[in-house]
Amino acid sequence: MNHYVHVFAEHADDPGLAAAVRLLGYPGIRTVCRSRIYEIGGAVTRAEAERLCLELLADPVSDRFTVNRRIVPRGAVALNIWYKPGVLDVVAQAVLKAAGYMGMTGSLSVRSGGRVDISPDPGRRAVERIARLALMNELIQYYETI
Amino acid sequence: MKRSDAKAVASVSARTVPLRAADGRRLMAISRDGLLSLTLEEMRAVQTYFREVGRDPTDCELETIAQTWSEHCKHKTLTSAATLHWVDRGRRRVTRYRNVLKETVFAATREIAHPECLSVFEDNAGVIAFDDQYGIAFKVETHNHPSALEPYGGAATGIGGVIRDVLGCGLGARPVANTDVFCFGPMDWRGRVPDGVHHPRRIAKGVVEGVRDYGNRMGIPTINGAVVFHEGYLYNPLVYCGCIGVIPRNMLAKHAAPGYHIVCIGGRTGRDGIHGATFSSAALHDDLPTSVVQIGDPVTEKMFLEVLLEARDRGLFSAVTDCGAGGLSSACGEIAREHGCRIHLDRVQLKYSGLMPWEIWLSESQERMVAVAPPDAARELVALCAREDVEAVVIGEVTDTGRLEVLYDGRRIADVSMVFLHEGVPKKTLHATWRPQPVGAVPRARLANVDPVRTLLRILAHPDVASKEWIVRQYDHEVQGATVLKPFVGSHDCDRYSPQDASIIRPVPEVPRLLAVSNGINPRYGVQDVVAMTESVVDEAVRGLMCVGASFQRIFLLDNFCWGNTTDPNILGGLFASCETARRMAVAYRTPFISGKDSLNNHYRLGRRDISIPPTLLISAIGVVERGADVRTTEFKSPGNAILVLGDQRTHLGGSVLCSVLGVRGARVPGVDTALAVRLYRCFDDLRPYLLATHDCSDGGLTAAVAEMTFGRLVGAELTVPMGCRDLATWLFGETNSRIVVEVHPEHVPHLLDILRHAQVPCISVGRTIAEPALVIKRGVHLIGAVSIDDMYAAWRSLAGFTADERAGSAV
Repeated sequence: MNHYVHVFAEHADDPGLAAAVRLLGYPGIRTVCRSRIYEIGGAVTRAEAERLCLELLADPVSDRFTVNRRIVPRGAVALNIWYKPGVLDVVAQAVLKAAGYMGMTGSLSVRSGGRVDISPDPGRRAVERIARLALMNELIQYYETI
Repeated sequence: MKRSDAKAVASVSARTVPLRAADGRRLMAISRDGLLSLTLEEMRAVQTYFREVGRDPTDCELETIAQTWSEHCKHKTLTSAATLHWVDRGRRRVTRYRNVLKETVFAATREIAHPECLSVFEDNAGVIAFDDQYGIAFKVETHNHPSALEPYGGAATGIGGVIRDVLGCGLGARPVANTDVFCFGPMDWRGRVPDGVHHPRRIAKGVVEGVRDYGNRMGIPTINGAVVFHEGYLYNPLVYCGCIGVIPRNMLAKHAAPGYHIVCIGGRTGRDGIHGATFSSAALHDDLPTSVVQIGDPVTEKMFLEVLLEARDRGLFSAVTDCGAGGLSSACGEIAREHGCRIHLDRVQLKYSGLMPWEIWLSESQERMVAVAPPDAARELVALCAREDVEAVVIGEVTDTGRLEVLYDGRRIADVSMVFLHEGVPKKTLHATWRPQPVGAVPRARLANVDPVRTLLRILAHPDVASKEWIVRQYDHEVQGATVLKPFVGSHDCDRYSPQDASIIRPVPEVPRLLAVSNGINPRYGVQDVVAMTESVVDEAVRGLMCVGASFQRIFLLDNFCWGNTTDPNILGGLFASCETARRMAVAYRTPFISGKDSLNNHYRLGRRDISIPPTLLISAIGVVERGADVRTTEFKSPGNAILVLGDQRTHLGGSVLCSVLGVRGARVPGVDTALAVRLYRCFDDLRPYLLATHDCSDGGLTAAVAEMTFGRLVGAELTVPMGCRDLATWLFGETNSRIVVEVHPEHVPHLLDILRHAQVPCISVGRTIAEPALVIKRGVHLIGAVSIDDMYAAWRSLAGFTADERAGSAV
């Protein structure tokens, strides 16, 4: 089963990115938050996924994390941005290696990505344009709304 | 991504391409479909070779030849035989070359025969002598096309690649500093951006972050660079990445012999970056496959950097080179060039399964090096790597056959003669023309009523002049603890900084000798006058070094030509004229070129229009600073000192920032009076003891330079325009080369003037430093303008096009 992991900092909002999005023609956008996501699959239990979060993926002081929760703040829209198949995922490689050191030697798959929460939700067409122009590189990434 | 020991598909062997029977059209179709970027003449040469061999080539063989013969790897345009019809300093000339590069840039170095050039134009980087024990390696490369497509990944792999070049120089140089120079479209561009092209702001952000992340994580300080903006770079940004390394002088020679093993070290091989070399030689359009993008992993590179240097010191290999453009095909071809080699692709470690043999052979997966070692040493090398968690595997051996043989599971994938591979490329014969553009007239009316203060503030805020501090500070200047002069210097109590003309490091801790790094680049000049631009950028790099304390006799240059559509004879002519001019300048200054690169065909097809970038030559320069006591900084030290301007006093407006700000086209672009410049730089050693602050005049002219000098310690200046000056705007803001502003204690002025008179170097007094934190401009005794340092500083730091939020939001 694939576990969806969301790791986010206490203050995840990115004023620079918000300013860039506003400049694209969406002056009503208040906040844009950026955080990290991982999809962990293979023969790994939820407890093991949580252990990976606690010991590897999330900083114990500044980060929080959730596993298999897809919560979107009210009024906002959240996007998962992943690499397209075949694109080298350096972070995932590092996670796999580290998981090995942690004793998780079973068959394991990892992919990493970024999550962006935009508030307020500007609508589907605006989100598509914002994603394409400011959040990801279409050449190597794609997004899905949560 | 799954963890498993991946193997490529074993059942497929190389595909045979029916080349021998193909006609012209079919040959070109093969080249196009395979992304080979080979011309008809080149395809025919390959066809002839295989007809003689008596069989058709495999796809691997064609790919190998295409990569090795690519413009990127072979510099076919610059090494072509050519005829140049041009106008050289007013005279019509026809110059014929058998090899443009050899007879221009290389020729300068040969003629100068500088005793401290240890290795020039042969290895992965140029090497100069630093002292008896050590050499300094320096290489600057471009990574333009990938950065246009994927700014972050493209720029990151650009810096990763040049670091590997330094690592693959001799038996390995230790990287001690990085440089980067970026050319972007205007940040505030409001025009249409075609599909597939990123907005310049986006490119800038991605590139800055890509180079930052890679360099910082490798623990290499990025100490010098430049960022310039011009509309011409909208569709084709330029990303120049440089790396400086230290190498023991007894480790410069590479050696391979039949029977030695070939070892692949570092990251695994995947499908990323295939066709990078041929792709980088072609024009951009919007239908490009994902695989041409490379992704970098600095942690892997840092790990093998350390292993490699340790292995080098233990003598565990006899030759090494980086796996860059063309991947294993280029690296193995190069390293075993004199003898021949046999490579077993099934031994190469893969990222995932399913790769075809040609994909393994051509992959430009990053962070790989190829080393050659005698069998026992190879075994120890692999063991050492394993202990340090770096992957290394023997993939083949050096042979004595003179052939490049590639096998997969015993099946032959490629078998090409090394001589044909490296020397079989047909030489191009090119025709080029160049003449300078007509020098326009200066619109006197527009200049007549220029308000000095308002104009100064607009010039300070101009993207080419404005502080790039928010970019520069993302790069670690201090890691390795050897940076002596950083990009910004100021005193802590006033929280202000003056920009410096060059940066200085102490590359070998035990040795007090220092190394300075600078650069020269100017697309505004390039658009109007390629020859004047070339003269200017060479002088800019050299005078930057002189200002900070380098010795004029120990300055070395690198050239990086980024040009537009060189199939246009006029654009090509500009390139050759620039090469000639670079040669002339290097010889006049006796500053040899030690390395160089070119990136041609930076143009974009927009519908029916073909848009080329401005002709952009980057000159990177390193110079030895003998003692710490020679180092000078730009900020004014104290009030009550004289401000003098030494050197060439003729100023021009062509291509100037003033004209850019006023929206007019100036007349003549400044060139260089080499005789005068040499006299100035030669007497600098005598002048230096009396110089308190030095800053060169460049963008924005005299007044912009003086303004920048007031920032660091909040020491103001009073500039006095001569009573007889008729053209205030040109006096204040006109630009020129070989002109340096200095701060001198009044007691020393007569002595300084003596030295300059004796050396026949013009010098004018323009004012004095004052306690008031302001810039005051007078004509005679009349005050014509005054502005506070705070206001100038604010203008200088308000780079147009970025909001405060964006500037803040990019810090990590």
